[in-house]
Amino acid sequence: MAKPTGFFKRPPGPIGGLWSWRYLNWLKTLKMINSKRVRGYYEAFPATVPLGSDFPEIVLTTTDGRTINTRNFLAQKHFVLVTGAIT
Amino acid sequence: MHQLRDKYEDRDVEFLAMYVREPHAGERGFPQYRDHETFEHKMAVARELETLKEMDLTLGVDDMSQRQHAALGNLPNMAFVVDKGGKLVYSNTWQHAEDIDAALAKLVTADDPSHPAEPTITTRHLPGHI
Repeated sequence: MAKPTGFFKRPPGPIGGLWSWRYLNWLKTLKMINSKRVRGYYEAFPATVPLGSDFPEIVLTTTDGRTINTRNFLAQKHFVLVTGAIT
Repeated sequence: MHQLRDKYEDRDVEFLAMYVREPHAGERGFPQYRDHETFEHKMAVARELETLKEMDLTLGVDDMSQRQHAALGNLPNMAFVVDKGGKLVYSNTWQHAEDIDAALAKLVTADDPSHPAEPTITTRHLPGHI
């Protein structure tokens, strides 16, 4: 099982992962990545849903109006869940 | 993700993307995107994401409480691989296609050892978004 990355592993991408800084407010981003809150999220990540544990049930409304529940994949399919946004 | 989805489309693997809060709403490169005000607003931006990225994956929207996002770790670009037993076998704070490919290859090979899968996805870069 691959281990989760630690804090401030830069995102994969061009310019050594620094591509995203072209689009961000640098001061705000520097403050954010150095904040206790954000560091806390990265530090807590491995323990939030530990490897080998039961994945929490996730229920989402899809963009075409369906409801999807990850419990329905049980015994049927493996699944990959990624989170993301535009910005 | 599309490459991975296409690679594993004939195996028992589902791909799901979860649209969460905008981590950089209103910043330099994104002045037109503000923090979500209602669920309908959030859903509209999710649909815009689908169009922008030409997404062909199932995209679900977390509710305004962001409780589920918080339960997973509250970070913007997380990745999880879960087996058929509902157990988490891989997670990361960023989406690395190679790692996800490796995790999936193990799972589907265990399902059917007569048809093993090997990690083959390589990316010179992978944007940190869906």
